[in-house]
Amino acid sequence: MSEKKHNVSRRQFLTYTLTGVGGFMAAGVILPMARFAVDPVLKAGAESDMYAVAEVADLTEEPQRFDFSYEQVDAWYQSEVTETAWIYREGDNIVALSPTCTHLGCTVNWDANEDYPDQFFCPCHFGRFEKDGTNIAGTPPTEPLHKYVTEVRDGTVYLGTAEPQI
Amino acid sequence: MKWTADDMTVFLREKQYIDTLLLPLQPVSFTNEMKQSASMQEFVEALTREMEKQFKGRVMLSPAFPYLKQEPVEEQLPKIQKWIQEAKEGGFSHIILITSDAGWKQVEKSIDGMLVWMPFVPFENLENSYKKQIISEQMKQLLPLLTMKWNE
Repeated sequence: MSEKKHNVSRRQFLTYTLTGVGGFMAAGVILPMARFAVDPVLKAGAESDMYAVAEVADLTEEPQRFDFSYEQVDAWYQSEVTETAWIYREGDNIVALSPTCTHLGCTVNWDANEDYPDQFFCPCHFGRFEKDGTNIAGTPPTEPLHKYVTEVRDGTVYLGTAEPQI
Repeated sequence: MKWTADDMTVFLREKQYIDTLLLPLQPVSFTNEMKQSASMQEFVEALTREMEKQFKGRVMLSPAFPYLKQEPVEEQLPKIQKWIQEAKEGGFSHIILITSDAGWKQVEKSIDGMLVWMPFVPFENLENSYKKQIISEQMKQLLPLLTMKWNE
C-alpha cells in the first residue's frame, strides 16, 4: 500500500536525477565565474593599507628621512618595495611628504644644497620645494610634493598612499 | 627611467631633461668564472636600480652590455665605442659606464664616456637589510660623482 503511494515513475525518477545532476554541474561552472566577477569588490580594502613608519617621539620640527618597505605585486612579479618619507611635526600636526620630485620623479633631499638651506632640493634639474612641499616658482616642478595620508595610533605614525596636494 | 615602454613614452616627451645614459658592462662566463660573473651581475644590477630610482628624471638605465669574460677587454672596445656613439646620436650627452670588472680600468682612457668601476660585494647568504645597507653606502659615494659630472 505504502509502496504504491510512494511510487515514482521511471520518467519522474529520470527527471529528478537529471535536474539534480545538471544543477550541480551548472553551479560548478557558474559559481567560480561569479566569484571572479565580485573579486575586485572583496579586495577593495587592500589598497588602502597603512604601514608603521616612525615613532611620534622621534619626530622633530625638522623633516627627517624614514624608509619603509612592503611587498608589491607587479603583474606576475612580487617584489619588496622601499619607499621614503620626509616627516616632521608642526605643533600637533604631523606632515609626511613623498620624496619623489613632481617634475620627472627623481628623489629630493632636505637641506641638501648649501645655497638653498631649509628647502627640498632635487639634484637632477635643481627643482626646489618649501618645507611644506610647495614648489618654488622658476624651478622645473609644476606642483607641490605629494603628501602621505597619515594616522597616529599608540604613538606610532602610520602612512598610507601619497596623494597630490592640489 | 627604466628600459620599459612606459618610461620610454615619458622619455620621448621630456627628452631635453633626460641627458644621461647609465650603461652596465656585464662580463659573462659559462665555465670557471661563472659564479663571479653572477655575483657581479647581482651587485651591479642592485646598484644601477638604486641609481635609477634616485635620478629617475635625468638618467636612463640601459640594458647591460654583455661580453665573454675570457675575451680580452680590448676586443670589446670597438663595439662599446659604437654603443656610445649611437647613444650620443640619440641625444645622451653624458654616458656613464658602470662595471665590477676591473679589466676596463686598463682601457679607460680610450673610452669616450665616464667609467665607474665598483668592486663588487658578494650578496651570497646576506640578509636583505644588510644588502640594502651596502648599496646605500655605495650610493653615497656615487652621488657626488654624478652631480660633479653634470656640473662640468
